[in-house]
This record gives sequence, C-alpha cells and structure tokens, in this order.
Amino acid sequence: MQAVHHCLRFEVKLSDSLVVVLEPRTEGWKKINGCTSKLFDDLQGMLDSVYFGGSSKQYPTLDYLESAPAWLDRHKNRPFLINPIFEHLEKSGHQGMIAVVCTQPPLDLEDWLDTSLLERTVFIRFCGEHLSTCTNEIDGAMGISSVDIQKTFRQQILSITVEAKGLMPLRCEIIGDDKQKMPRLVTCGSEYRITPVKSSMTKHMTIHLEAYSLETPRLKISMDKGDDIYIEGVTDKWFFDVSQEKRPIPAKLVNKFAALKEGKSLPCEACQEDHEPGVWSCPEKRTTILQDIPPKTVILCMGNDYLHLSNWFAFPLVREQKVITSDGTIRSLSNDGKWLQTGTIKNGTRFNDDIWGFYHNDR
Amino acid sequence: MTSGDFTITIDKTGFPLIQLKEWDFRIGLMPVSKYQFERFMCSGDKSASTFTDEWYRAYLQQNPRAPYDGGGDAPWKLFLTGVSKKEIGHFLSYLGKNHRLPTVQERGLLVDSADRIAAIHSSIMIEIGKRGCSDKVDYWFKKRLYPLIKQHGGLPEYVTANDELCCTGSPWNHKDFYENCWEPQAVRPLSTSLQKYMGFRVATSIG
Repeated sequence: MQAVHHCLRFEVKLSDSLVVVLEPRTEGWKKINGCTSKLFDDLQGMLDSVYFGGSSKQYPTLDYLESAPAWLDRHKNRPFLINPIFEHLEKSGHQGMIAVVCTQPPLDLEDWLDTSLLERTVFIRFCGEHLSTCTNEIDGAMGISSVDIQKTFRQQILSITVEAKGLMPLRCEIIGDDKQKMPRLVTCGSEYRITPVKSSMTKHMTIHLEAYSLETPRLKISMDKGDDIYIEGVTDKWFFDVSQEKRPIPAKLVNKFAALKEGKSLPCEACQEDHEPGVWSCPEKRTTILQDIPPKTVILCMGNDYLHLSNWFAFPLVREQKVITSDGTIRSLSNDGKWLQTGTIKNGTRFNDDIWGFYHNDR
Repeated sequence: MTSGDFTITIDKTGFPLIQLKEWDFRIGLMPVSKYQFERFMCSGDKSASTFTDEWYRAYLQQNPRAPYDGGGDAPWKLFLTGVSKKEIGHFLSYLGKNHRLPTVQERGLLVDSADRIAAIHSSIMIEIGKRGCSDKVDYWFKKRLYPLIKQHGGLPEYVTANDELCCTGSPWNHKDFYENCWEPQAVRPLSTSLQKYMGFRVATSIG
C-alpha cells in the first residue's frame, strides 16, 4: 500500500447567513412584516436575502423596510409554494438557516421532508396550530425574544476535520482574517481537527495542506443544524519549500552537533563540563546547551544545515515511505491504512545517507 | 433534440414532449402533474394570475397532493385532475400558442407506441438529462412513471374529437372505478361524475 503525496488548498467560505421567506399574503401581512422587522433588528449582518413564497426572485435585505410593500404587491396572493425557493437555494448551495414567516403551511412542504434544507428551516407561524410534525416551528403569536432569535438562527460549528484514508498531515497552514486567534490543525484522538473554531463563522479561511494519504483529503465541517458539509481541495503547487526553511548550523554549535551525531556527551560552555546525551540544559547554570535551537521538537540535520519540525506535523522520508513526526516518532503505513510507530528518535538517529536527527528537549 | 427515431422537446415548465419520427405532432410523455402546474402558477405570467393561494388550497382539498417522490399506492395524487376546460386553457396559453389538448387519434398513436417508447427509455433519459429538466422530472423518469397509458395504470384524460372534449384512458385501479370497464383506447363522453378524476396532457402540432 503506497501513500500518495498531496498538496492541496481549501477555500473555506462559511457563512451563517439567513434567508427569510415570507408568505405573500395581504391578510396577516402586518404580523408577518412586524416579525420580519424584528429578525432584521436582531440578526443584523447575518441576513442574506428575502424571498416571497411562490417565487425564486431574491430581494436584498438592505431595501426591505422601504420596498417590502411594493414587493408584496408584486407577489400577493400567489400560491404559497416553497419549491421555487428551495430549488434555488439548493442549486446555489445555501448552507445557512432559513426562516419562513407565515400564517399557514406552504402547500408543497411535503416535497422537502427529510432534507437538509428543511432541517435548517424554522417556521415562525401565526396560525396557532402546528404546520407539520416534521418541521421546526416557533409560535410567532406568543412573541419571540431577541435571545430566542439568536439561539434559533445562529449556526454553531461543532468541528472542522481533515479526512482521508491513511492520512498523515505533513504541513498545514491556515490563513484567515482573524490574525489574533488563528486556528491550527491539531491531533485529536485519531482525527485531525482545525481548532479553535469560532461559534459562528462568516469569514474566509484558506488552508494549505501537504499530506500523505491513500485517498484525496477533504474537509468535513459539522454544524449543530443540518448535514455535515464537505469541502474538496484543489491541487496546489508545492507550498512548503524545505530549502527555504533550512538554516545553517551556527558556528558555535558545530562541535555540539558533531557530538550529537556520534551519540557522545555535549560540551557545555557554562560550566566547562560535558553533559550526558539527553541533557539539554546545564544542571548547574540552568542555561540551554543548544542555544537558539527551537526546543520540544525534532531537529533534522542535512549536511551543514538543520531543519526544525516545530511547524511540521511530520517530515516525509520519501524513499523509505516513512515519516518523522515532530514529537519524535518514526512511522510507516500499515496494510490497514494506519501510520504505525516503528521507532523513536534518539540522539544521532540516522534516517538515510543524507539525514540524521535528534529530539531537542528543553531540559 | 433529435436522437434517431424520436425528438424530445421541453416545455416552459421544464417537462418533456415526445415526437416519434412519423408523427406530425408532439405529446407530453406524462399527464400534467400538480408540480408542473405549480411551476406555471409560480411563473408570474398574467395567465397564472387567477390561480391564487386561495384557489389552490380549495383545489387541493378536493384533489390532495402527494410529495413528488411518494405517490405510493395513490400515484394519481401526483397529477393534476379535476380542473376545468377554462383552467386548462390558461395553462396551455402560457405554454405557447401551438399548445393544446391532444386529439383522440394522437393519444391513440401514443397508446399504440407505448412499448416502443418503453424500449427507448435509456435514450429518452439521456435526452432529458441533456436538456436540464427539473430533478423531479428525472426522478419520475427513473421510476418509469410514464407514459401512464397501460391498462389500469393511468388517468382518464381529456382529448378532443371534432373539437369536442371527451374522455379516454384507463384509470389506476382506483376504488371509484370498475376496472373491467376501462380500455386504454376507448373513448367516452364526459360526465359530471368523471370530472374530478380527469387529467390531461399537452400536445402541439408541427409546422
């Protein structure tokens, strides 16, 4: 079984946008309009567009207050059918919530039973009785609080995971709008999750992923309402360039790297003693022996250069069909598609003719 | 869209009509469904303005609707039955000036060709797929819910004979019908008691 090397880019454009569908009825319009205005007040920035039952024509929410009477006039008393709207939303890939404000059920509701769209639809009804046993409903006549509106229509992202059989991420970089709290890919049990996810996400995220896997990786986004969303990546040019990341071994550390390569004790300038292999901090002076070398990760040495794996999940040994993980294990792909540990990095571990390495701890 | 022996055209509601090579007319591959009529009602066309929410709710009280994928043991609920000649006229005028009810002879040719049409099912599916019909049309064709003309497997349908409306077809094995009394090709006069069950399909002349 041979893993394939993938370089992919995922564009994540998640939106918790809300579409509002109004029953095009003159009787009861005051209630429908009043409720819609409240939705607009409470969910500003989340509203996408307005539809009238029986038509796939979309209206911009910005013009609602001014133009709604004219829009109603255009659609009034048409059969209250949701097929034209739901077919349009399905075609356009709408992933957000839908609010239907009405005084009676749509005539073709039954065409959408057990669909993701209906699962993400909340009916605000002004007719007293339930519309159907299979729909999410709020009794509009009872009055809806702003808290209930927020709770009902805000979609929560539960998790974003990268999925593929035999997946071993090598590198992952996430670029988004929020520089302060940028999500990153982490291991969570046997899953690879992007965390933290914001409770509601309206912005854009680009994920560059380099991975080994038996099938093309994809993103799975689980929400609290509706089906999971899958996003396919597009093949990207080689994104992470090892030659750009390698650094020359500092002159003052050359003798120490040479000692490490041979599995010998490390000379320490602080106390003028040699320290046993595996001791990274001078016990007497409490200084780091390999100064300027990032701790708690694997250091790979290639000739006169070194590469630290702090930003890597794993480094591929292509010829050997193995990876070196940043936490210091060596793994190879088993026949059942799992990356099994076949070794642990020790000082001076030689991987092939060109590469050797060690795990740099901080004490 | 021609494919050898037959031509498929799609009407304004997204539903297919078939013309076999030797015919000088096109005819709907299935009777007009409620879903198809709903597309007309939602068109915003002037001819649809009389079909209000109130009208359709009252209509459905008499002729209940079935979800598009679940006619189940009452498949006739998928189809538009029991509308008046005038209401049919609004629908046909929306489709275009050549659109009309089929004649007795045209529907007779369709019945005669039922097996031939069934034999080219795959080619028809390909043609329909190319034309981007509604998903619901695709679904019904995959389920082979057409042409609904076999013994006890369809609707009594309006046809014209010498410009007069009459009834032909063989209804589903519905509790309201004596199944032995219906032959697919038989032509009957209309009666008030029949009207509730009457469906129709669309036809157009060529040239």
